[in-house]
Amino acid sequence: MLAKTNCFGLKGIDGFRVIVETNISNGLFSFDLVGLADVAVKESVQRIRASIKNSLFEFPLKRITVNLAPANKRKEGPLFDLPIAISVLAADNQILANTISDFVILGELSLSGEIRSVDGVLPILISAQKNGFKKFIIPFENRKEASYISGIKVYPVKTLKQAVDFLNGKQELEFVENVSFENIKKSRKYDFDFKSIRGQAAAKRALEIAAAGGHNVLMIGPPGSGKTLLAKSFASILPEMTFEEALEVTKIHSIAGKLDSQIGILVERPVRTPHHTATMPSLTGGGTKARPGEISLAHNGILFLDEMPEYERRTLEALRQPLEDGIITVSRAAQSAVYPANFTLIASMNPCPCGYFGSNRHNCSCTSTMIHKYLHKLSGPLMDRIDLHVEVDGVTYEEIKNNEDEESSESIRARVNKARKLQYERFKNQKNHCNSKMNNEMLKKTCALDNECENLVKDAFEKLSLSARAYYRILKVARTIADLEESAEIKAAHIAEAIQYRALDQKYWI
Amino acid sequence: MIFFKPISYVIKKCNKLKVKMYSQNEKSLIWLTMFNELSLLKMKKLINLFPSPALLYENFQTSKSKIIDIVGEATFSKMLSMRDNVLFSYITNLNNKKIICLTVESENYPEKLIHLEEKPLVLFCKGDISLLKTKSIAIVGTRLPSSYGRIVTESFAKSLAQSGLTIISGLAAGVDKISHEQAMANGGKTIAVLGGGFDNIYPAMNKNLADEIIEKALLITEYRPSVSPTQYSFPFRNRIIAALSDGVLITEAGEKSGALHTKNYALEYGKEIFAIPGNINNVKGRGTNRIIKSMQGTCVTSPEDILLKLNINIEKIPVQSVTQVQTTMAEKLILSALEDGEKSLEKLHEITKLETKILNSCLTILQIHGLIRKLPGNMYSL
Repeated sequence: MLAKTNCFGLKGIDGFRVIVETNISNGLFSFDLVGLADVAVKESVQRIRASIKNSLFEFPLKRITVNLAPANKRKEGPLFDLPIAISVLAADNQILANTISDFVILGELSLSGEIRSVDGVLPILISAQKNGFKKFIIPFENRKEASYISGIKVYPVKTLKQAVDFLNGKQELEFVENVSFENIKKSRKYDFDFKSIRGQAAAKRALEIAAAGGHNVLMIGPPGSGKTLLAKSFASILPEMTFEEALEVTKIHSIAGKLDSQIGILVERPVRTPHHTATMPSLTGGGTKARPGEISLAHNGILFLDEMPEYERRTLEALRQPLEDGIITVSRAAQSAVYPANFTLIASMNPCPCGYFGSNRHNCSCTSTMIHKYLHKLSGPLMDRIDLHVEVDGVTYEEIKNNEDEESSESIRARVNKARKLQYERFKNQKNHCNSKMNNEMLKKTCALDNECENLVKDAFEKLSLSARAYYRILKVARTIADLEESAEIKAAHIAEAIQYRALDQKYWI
Repeated sequence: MIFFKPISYVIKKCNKLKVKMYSQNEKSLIWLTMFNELSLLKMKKLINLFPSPALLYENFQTSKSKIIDIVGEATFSKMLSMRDNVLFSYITNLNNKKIICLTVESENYPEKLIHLEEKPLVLFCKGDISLLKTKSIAIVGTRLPSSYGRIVTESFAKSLAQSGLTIISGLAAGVDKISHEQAMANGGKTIAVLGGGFDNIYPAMNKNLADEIIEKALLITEYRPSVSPTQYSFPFRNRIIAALSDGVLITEAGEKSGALHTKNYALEYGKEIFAIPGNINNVKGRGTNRIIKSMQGTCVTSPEDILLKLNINIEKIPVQSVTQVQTTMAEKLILSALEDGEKSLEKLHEITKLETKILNSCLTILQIHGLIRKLPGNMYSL
C-alpha cells in the first residue's frame, strides 16, 4: 500500500517541498530510505521504529520503502522523522490516508514517541504558504514561531499519538492563535540606554548620525573609554524593525537554531559580537552544510567587532563584499546558499598596541613603527566602507559623578526616525533606502554643493591633508547630517561637521 | 632582428662615458667600501701604507704581508679577487642607480668633513650635491614626539627652512621625519643622512619620504647600497649630521634619546647647540632640559634666536601675511577656551556649552583657517 505526506526541506533561507512516499509490500522485513538523505535522516529509521512501538501503534514487519522526492535535492536534519512515521502508519492503514495530503508535517521524534522542536520552522512555513499549503503540524515547542503568520492553520503536537489521533479525527487540536507583531514590540525593553552613558558627546553624536544614515562606524580610543558600552547601546537608537524585516531576520535565526522559543520572533534588531578569534567561516557562514554566519545573523542589525585590528586580516577582508552588496553567497562542495547580510558595522580599536597613544591620562609605550603597523592593519578598501571614524576618550571622575541625566535613547531615536523617513522618500524606487548605500549617480543628484561648500571642501583637503578617498564619505555623512536637521540642501556647517568624523584620514597621527 | 654589440665595445663605451668620471684614487677608495670586513679604522690604516690610494690599489699584491697584517688573509684574498672587472661593474651599477660617490680625494667632498678625525672615506649621494656647501642646521630629536614636540619641530623647521637654511636630519621617524617634510613642504632644502645603504631605508615607512628627498633634495650615506643599518651605525652616522651642519637644534629628546649622540659630536666639533625647553613634568623633555641646565647648549624659544646666533639676516625671512579671519561667536568661544592649553573635545563641550554638532563644525572651520590644530586622542590646541 502506498501513502504520501508533505514536508519541507531547507536550502539557504528558503524551503522546498519534499514528498515523503512510503510503499509497504509483502516480504521479509526491511526498511529502505532513499532520496539523497543525510545521516540524521537515515538514522531516523531507528527513532521511528521505537516511537511507533512506544506510542502503542503497530510497526509493520514487511518490506517498507520510503522515498523522499525530489530525489536530486539533498535533505538534512531530523525534521523528516514525523512525516516519515506518519506516512508509514498511513501506508499500513493505521491512518486514513486521504486526510494527510492537506498537511505539511514537520518534527523530530524521540524514542518514547514525543515530538521535539526543530530548526527552521519559520522559513518553512513561509515557503509552504507560498506553495499554497494552509494546514501544518509542527512540534509544540515551535508554536510561537508560527503565531505571526496569518492565513494558515498550524496545529502544534506534543506526541506522535496526538498527531495520529488528530489525523484520524479522534482528537481535536487547537491551532495556534495569531499574535500581532505590534503588541509584542511594545513589550520589549533594551538592556542599554544612552541615558546612562555620561559624557562622550562626540561619540554619541557620531552614532546618532550612523543610525540615521545607516553608516558604518569605527571608534578609536584607549581601553576603558566606553567603546563597548556605546556600541551595545547603539541598537536602542536604531529605527524599529518593520514586520517584514523582523521576519527576514527571524528566518535566519530559526535556521541557525538561535531563536528564543518563548517569543518565536526577533523583536529587537540583533546585535552580534563575535570574538576576535572568530574564523572566516564563522563570520561569513560555511561548514559542510553552508550554514549562515555571524554577518547573516546580524542582518538588519549590528555587527560589533571589538578590537578590530586583532581579527585575522583574511576574516576582515571577507567582510568587504557583503558590506557592499548586503548579501553573502556561501559556497561549499555539497551546496551553496545565499544569505542576506545587510548589517551596520560598528568597530572599535585602540590607537596603538598599548592603547594609550594620544591619551592624556597614560603615557604610551609604543614605538612609532609599532603604531604605524597597528593602524595599517586595516586595509584601505575596508576603511573605505566605514564612513565615520570617531575618537573616544576616557571619562573623567567628574563626569561619572555627575548625576544629570543624559538624553535618552528614545528621543534620539525620534530624530533618527525622521531622518530615515526623508531618505525613504528620496530613495523610493531604489533597492536601498539609506544614505550610506547611495551609488555615485544618486550622490551627484542628492549631494549637490553650492559654492561655499565647494570651497570649504577644497580648503579642507588642502589644509587638513585629507586623503582623496574621504571625499565621497564626507558627502554621504553630510547628507545624513542635513537630513537630521530636515534641511533639503547640504550646508557648509554640515560639511564641516562631517569632516570631523574622518579622524584616520587626517594625517596628524604619525 | 636585434643586433647585439660585442661586450668589449660596450665596456669601452661605458669606460668613456661614465666610469671615467672617477680618478684612480677615487676608484681605489670606492673599492674599499665593497667589503663588510673593513671598518673605517682598517681602511684608514690601509691607505696610510701608501702615499695615495691609487698606489695601494696598484701595489696590492706586492705588499701582501703588510696588508695581511691589517686585514687578515681571508679578507686579503677576497679583496684581491674583487678588483678590475668586479670593481668596474660595481661602479657601473652605482652609476646606473644615479649614485654619486664623493671620496676624500674628490673635488666636491664637503669641506666641513675633510678635517674630521673619523671622516667617511666615501660619501654615497643621491640628489643635489650642491646642498652640501650651503649653510645648514641639523634638527634632531625623539622618534616619538609628544604633541608639543611635534608642534615646535614643525614651526622651527618651517621658518628655518624658509629663511634659507638647509635642514639636516637622519630620516628617522618622529622629529627627523617632520623636519624633512616641513623643509620640503615650504620650499626649503634638506639633507638626510642615513645609517645604512640606499637599498635599506629604515624605518621602511619612510621609503616614500626618501624618494621625495632624492627628487627635491639630497640623501647621503657612508655605506654602500646593500648595507643594512645596525644599532651601532645610527649613532655613528650622527657625527656626519653634526659635522655637516653649522648648528644643531634639538627640539624634543628624552633622557636616552639618540639625538644626544648628535649633541655630543656637535660639542666635540665646536658647533652651536640649540635646545627647545620642554615641559619639566614630561619625560620626553628631560634630554633637552638637561642640555639647557648644564649649559651645553643655548635655550631657544623662537627660530629668530637661532638665526641671530648663526649671523643670518633676519630680514630675509618672508614676513608671514597674517590674514585676519572673521570668526563667529561660537568660534571665538572655542578659541578663548583653548587659550590656556590643549583641551579634549569633551572638555570644550563642557566649557563652551555648545551643541556637539555646532562644536564639531566650528572646529573644522578653525582647523581649516589654521587657528587651531587637532592632536591624537581627540585633543585640540591653538
